Amino acid sequence: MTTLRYLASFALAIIVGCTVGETFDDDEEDDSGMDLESALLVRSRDHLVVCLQIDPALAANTNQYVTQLRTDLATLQARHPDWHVGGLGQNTFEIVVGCPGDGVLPQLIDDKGTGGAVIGPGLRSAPTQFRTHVHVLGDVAANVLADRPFGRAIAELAAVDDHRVAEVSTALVIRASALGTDAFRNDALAQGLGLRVLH
Amino acid sequence: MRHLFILVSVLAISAAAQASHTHNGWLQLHISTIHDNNGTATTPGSLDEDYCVSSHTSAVSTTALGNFIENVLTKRTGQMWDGAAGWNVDLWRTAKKCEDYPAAERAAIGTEYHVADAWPNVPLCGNTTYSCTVLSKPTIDPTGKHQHYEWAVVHFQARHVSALDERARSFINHETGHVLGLRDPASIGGDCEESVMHNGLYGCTAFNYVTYPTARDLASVARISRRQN
Repeated sequence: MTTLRYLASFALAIIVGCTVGETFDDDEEDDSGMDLESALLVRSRDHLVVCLQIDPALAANTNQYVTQLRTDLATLQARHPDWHVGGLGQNTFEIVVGCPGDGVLPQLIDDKGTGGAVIGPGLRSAPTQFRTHVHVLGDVAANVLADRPFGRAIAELAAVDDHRVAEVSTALVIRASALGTDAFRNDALAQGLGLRVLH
Repeated sequence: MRHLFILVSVLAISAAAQASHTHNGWLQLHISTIHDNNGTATTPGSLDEDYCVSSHTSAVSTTALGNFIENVLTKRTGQMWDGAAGWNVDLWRTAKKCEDYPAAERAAIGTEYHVADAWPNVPLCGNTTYSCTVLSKPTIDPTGKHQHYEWAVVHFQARHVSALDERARSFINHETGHVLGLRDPASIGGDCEESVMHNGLYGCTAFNYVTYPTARDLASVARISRRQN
């Protein structure tokens, strides 16, 4: 009788197991470090940090570009409804001059990363602190944009599967003259932070 | 007593068959359009899944591969991704190959399928070894609940798909499963189940016949579409 009760309990446990199995396992272990509940994208980032890479031809004006980017970010933070729900933080964002990577720009920007095109470190086992890399270009270097005022590319990738990678840092490539414009702030910068275009 | 043993055995087998690795919770990176549908039966909308195809090899032409991909994805009733999640997955092939669109129009195409003899610069493609997928342009879901991706670029190895056969069908459906949020098994020959993500390509020889999305796969994508991760 004891054996029968034991087996009956075992059978009941398996029935419960069946039910759980049908509702799927929502807690698959993950070692990519990604956090899709935040626009920062990875768990190791606790606030927004943006790096700023200035074209050497414009180096004398670095402070001016830092100030302008800070103003653009602050304006977006104040106006964009997605900023806080996206997890970009209440008060703090940081700008660091100089971005990781070899600094080499392609002949033409590839927005989608076809064939592995990146502007930045590319695939890393540990993503950098930089959610967004902003590259400010003078007129000559801006040929990589063709006739566009700004473009985007993949800066960093994380491996999320055997053969699948995902962008965890975005590169924004802009003409110096586009900094401070509504078009850059509401479109490129917003999307470069994982937010919707601000209309 | 003997009947109880049989019952226990049957239930144990059933439990193993139901365990799902295909659906794996929050880390189901997916294309951003799968939560809704705003097209018609004859015209794609902005929330449908447009895709383009481009060949960079003499092993198969853009047209031949494009026709095959379209057939696999949208013409195999009961064994295809098109129509998944109550038609929130609504796949439409573009008229031209990917490179033929200017940047602004190309940006509106969610998924690109490319094929080449090698992918030396694409991470995890292993140059000539693996077909692989890159997700880019992370963006916030309108509900604010999560980030998903506006673009997916699938890089096929020519040797995987150029024969346009059943194995090619398996690769196309497997990589498209990645676009829609499904993962690989944890290891070769591990987590085997009736799923195009866990089939013979991953050492699950008992499921060699699974070259298409199964009911299990479709159920997982439906949950992602409904934001039930």
